[in-house]
Amino acid sequence: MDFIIQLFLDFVNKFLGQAPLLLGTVVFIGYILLGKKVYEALAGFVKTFVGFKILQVGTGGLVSTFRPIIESLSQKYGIEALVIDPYFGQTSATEFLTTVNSLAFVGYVMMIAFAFNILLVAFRKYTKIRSLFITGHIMYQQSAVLLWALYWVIEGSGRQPATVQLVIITGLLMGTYWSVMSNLIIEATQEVTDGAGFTVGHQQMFGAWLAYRLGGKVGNKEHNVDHVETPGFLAILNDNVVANALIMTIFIGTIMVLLGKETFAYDESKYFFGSYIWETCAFFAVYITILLTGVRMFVAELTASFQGISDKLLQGSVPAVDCAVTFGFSPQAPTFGFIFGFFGQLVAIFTLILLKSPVLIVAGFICLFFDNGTLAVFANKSGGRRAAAIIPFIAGLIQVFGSALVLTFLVGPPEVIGWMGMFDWATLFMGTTIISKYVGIAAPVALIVLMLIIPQVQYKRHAATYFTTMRDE
Amino acid sequence: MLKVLAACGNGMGSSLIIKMKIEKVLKAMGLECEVHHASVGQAKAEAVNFDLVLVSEQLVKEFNPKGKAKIVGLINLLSEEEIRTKVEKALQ
Repeated sequence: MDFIIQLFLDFVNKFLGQAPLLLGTVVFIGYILLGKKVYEALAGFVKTFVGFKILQVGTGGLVSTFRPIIESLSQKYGIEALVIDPYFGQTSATEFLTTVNSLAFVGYVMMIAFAFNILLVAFRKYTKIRSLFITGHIMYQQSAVLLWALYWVIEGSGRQPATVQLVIITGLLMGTYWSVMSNLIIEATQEVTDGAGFTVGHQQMFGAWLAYRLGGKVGNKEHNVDHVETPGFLAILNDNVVANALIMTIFIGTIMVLLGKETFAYDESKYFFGSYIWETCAFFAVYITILLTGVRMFVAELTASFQGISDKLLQGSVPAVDCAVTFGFSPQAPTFGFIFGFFGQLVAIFTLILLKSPVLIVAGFICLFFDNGTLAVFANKSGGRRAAAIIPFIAGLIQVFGSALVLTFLVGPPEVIGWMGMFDWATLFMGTTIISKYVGIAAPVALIVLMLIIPQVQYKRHAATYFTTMRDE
Repeated sequence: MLKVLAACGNGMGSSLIIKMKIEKVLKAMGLECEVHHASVGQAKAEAVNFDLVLVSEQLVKEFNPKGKAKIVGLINLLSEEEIRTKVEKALQ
């Protein structure tokens, strides 16, 4: 009997407890259920596993590039510098969770969350949830960051792996957030896209809903942002390699100059201080590119196998997809959002410096462009160019202040190099994390219940047309 | 065999959606295809190896219009109708 128990425990630890093996197996099973051939399912397993390992090369590289700079800064000035970018948040989460043997739990959180989303849509008659979240890279990223944050504030002191209870509650909270917020923004997305039949499933659904609701109050939708010319040189930001390298050089380069050349051990026979700074900052783009390659590989497999599951189970739900899918409907708005969000973040960063905040925020490209870009698209639809400027500016302030606040509760482990920064994470999950610090697991449980009331209120407002936005059944 | 590349800002979300849709559309058109997805930054360098590049409309200007690959700009990435019409035109 002992032998069998040992075998089982080994299987749990060495197989189900290993994130890439677990996810690869999920993909394999998904493909088999879809009726694909065994060798195709095997290829899916391999790509998931290898993709996950490539991702880990990227996250490891980001930490090792950024850590020496953070440490010098905190030694010299007592300030902790952290980047608000989803991949820096994800890196902090997965690298930290690895140290407490909990990385595989991210996979479980994601599966519980997705299963809960499916359940809520299946019982839509009662739950009023119409949307299904299918943005794979976001699902993995958010599951990782939420588990890290809640683990650290609720269970962090003991260095024990996350408890089953925490994993389940985190999964349910994640699934509730995906369902409720992507459902909340269905009508606004339909307006923005002239009824394209999808909704947003990303990091700023609550923010974009607010932007749409408030847009009409701050501007006039007749003055559409697409009649405005934006500076041509900003087109280089369409290339993410260029954008990441340049933005990191602006911010991290400035920090390195302030630290001074004597702080860094580099070969002076090979580098000017300037070229050394450039190379270091360019490495952020290198590791982000590696990381994206890895995520792209395993998420493509995961999505393909999940897609099958969700398509079979649920005809007619509204797919919740990447925020950038809305950009085609308002091509100038994202650039507008980027510019004004950038100003907002700069003002907030300088305010933090003046206030001598212990946490200094470094702006990240993805948050600047995709988060504020999305808010601008929604604000523009209801309030035109004025709204598309004012709302991203204010969002920029909120992204920096909210993230700085939540990070003061999360700093400590050396793996922590940043936070999501995206609107919902600088507001909703900032609050949840901080409240959980004081009241424990009751906070996420209460939030699940509160959020589930939102679709009921929506339904009451337009019961007659509520379900007509869904695809034909 | 038609080689297709779907691209978007980071090569994560939108391009994967385009990929799933174009596979379905080309299959319905009876064409055999191999579809990859990437970020615009990577796609620009790789476009020469493909017959067809699909991106969101506002990113079309990033690509060389005189290159070997036909560049197709989309407004609604989820509309199979739009993809079919535009791809049929590009392949003529």
